Amino acid sequence: MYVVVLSFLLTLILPLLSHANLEPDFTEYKAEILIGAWLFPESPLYDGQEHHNYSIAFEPEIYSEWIEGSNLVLRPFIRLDSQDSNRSHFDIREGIYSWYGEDWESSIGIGQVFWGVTESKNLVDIINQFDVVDDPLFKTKLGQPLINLTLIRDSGYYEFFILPYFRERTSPGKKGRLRLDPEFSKGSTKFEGGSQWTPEIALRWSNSFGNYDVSAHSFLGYGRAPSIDILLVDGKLKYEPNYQRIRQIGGTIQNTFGATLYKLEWVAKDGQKDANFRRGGYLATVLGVEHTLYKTIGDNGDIGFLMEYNFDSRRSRSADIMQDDVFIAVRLALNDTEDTEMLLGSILDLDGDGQIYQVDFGRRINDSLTYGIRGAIYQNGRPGSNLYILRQDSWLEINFKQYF
Amino acid sequence: MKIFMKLVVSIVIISIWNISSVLAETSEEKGLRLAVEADLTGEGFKDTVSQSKMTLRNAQGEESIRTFSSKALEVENDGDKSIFIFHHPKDVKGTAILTFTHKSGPDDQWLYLPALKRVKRISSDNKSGAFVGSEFAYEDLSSQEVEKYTYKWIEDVPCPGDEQEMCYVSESYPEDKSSGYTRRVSWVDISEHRARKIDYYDRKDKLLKTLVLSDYKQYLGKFWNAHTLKMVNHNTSKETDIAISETEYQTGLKDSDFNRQTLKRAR
Repeated sequence: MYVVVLSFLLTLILPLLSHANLEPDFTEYKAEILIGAWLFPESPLYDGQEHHNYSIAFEPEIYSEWIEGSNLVLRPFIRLDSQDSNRSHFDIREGIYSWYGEDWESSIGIGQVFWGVTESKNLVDIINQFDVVDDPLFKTKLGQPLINLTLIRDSGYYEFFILPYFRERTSPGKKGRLRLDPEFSKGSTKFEGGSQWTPEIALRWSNSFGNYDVSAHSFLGYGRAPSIDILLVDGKLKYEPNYQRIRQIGGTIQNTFGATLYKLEWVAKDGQKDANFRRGGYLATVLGVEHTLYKTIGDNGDIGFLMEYNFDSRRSRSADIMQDDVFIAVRLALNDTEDTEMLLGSILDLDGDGQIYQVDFGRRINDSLTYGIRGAIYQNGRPGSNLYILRQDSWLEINFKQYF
Repeated sequence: MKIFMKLVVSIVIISIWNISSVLAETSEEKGLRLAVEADLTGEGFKDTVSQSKMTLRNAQGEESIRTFSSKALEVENDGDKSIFIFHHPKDVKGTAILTFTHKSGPDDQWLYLPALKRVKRISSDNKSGAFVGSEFAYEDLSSQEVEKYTYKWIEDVPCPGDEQEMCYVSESYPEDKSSGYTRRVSWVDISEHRARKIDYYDRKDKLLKTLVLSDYKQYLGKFWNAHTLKMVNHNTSKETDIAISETEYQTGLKDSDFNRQTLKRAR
């Protein structure tokens, strides 16, 4: 199905290219190969799951630029996983043609859009779907088909989006760890009030006022998080993801005061079903502060302290793990030749529903090779809670990235 | 006649007053005057584009390379705007920094992370922090605004490494509390206001680093640019060299080339 979308968008792009000089003035190629191993020290809960899996991912990029004011980016991605067939997947992360003038930019194709300001979670990022199977820490997104116009005015940046096609959230397969029980039923996803082709729209305004960076947005379309129905397929229980049309407004504020950053993300939504299958409005916020002490470790190392409060007015009816949780983290940036960086974080549920500990470490080996260590420990989830699902799935990842 | 005499007397009085004021110029006033003069030689550059190669060398002599390009725009009545774009090492390729320098108050700074497509407002408080792990601090490379320092002229001596030229030695003291220095001592040639050498003193007033600038080239018959910068850290014996390629002046960059949207497109 997605192939159809791609070819549809391509046919839209081609005529745009053909009127101009087809030969770009500047083209560059680059690529990344990632080799990674996942370790799950605790016993799996379900048949077919293992203690480890290995994967290899390849992500090339072609970038072309025309001097008159346009560019084309193509960045496909493929991962092959030794264990989980759903984790072996292909995606066009970016495949987008943009043209621009002094005070405007317009794009068509498959893009990636980042709006957030906080670190523990980015509530406001609604354009792209998360590639959860690729990254359980919710940092990786699927490419989103879109048409965009951005106007740059003295009063701010105005962004308009039309999203012609909805991307389903990825989820681990039967043999994959970090999954629900029972497994997801593939191909039976419901799109309430429309189809995957029902268009979505989004508007955003953002601007800077001295030390304040402010944004506001609204969105009409499918909620990115599915609600889950249980159904009987061939005598077996299966989970069926359902997506609902939602209305969302939201915004961000960041105040950069010396070495301290104060951050707020908020959204108000309605239309989305909660864990009790009730549709209703709700408010979610992330309120945080980040303070950095520069040059405190070794010669040049910085240490940053982060604290963010995550709130969701649905509380235990929210499908989000962080609904009344405090995120506390330390970020180390050694500022050395190897660019050594580490984030150590913990998420503490104020309702007593367990804790999560996270690590994200990265370091350069040479000019074209880096390695990373990441992981999460899920602890003390109450039976029935979102965290409880992950009780046996604490993980550690070691990866190497080669750049070409 | 009376009126004429009055005029002569007043002219004489005014000139004496003027001469005496020049004679009485304090070292601080002279330092400031020279800084303003030096700043004026750079005025009217409009915009520049250049490519740089940075070589980081540790005490054992092991080297690593960074390359970046930079664009700068002169802003009337305020500090310059600039964009730094990293090309090498490959894992940071495409990372870019947009800076709006201000004559007073903190600078505005945004960092673009290409892997996430994220534009992040960052604190400009880490002036004393190392620029990409090098011996250069952010404040050593940022636009030098006269208003951000106080000055004191020390003496005139032959220029270090170039005895034919005379240099004025002057000290500058950062106004900003977040600066890593108590003072900088610079040797600048009298003829063209080209900085030849700068000593940086840390917060304990101990000599921390020395920068030697050379390979000066003149552009558009006015602007002098050093093409080789060599920074030595006396504490760690680490060194960083910057080799700047041919710089292009007045390429026609506009204010609209320096915003968060163009930062995302910067290559």
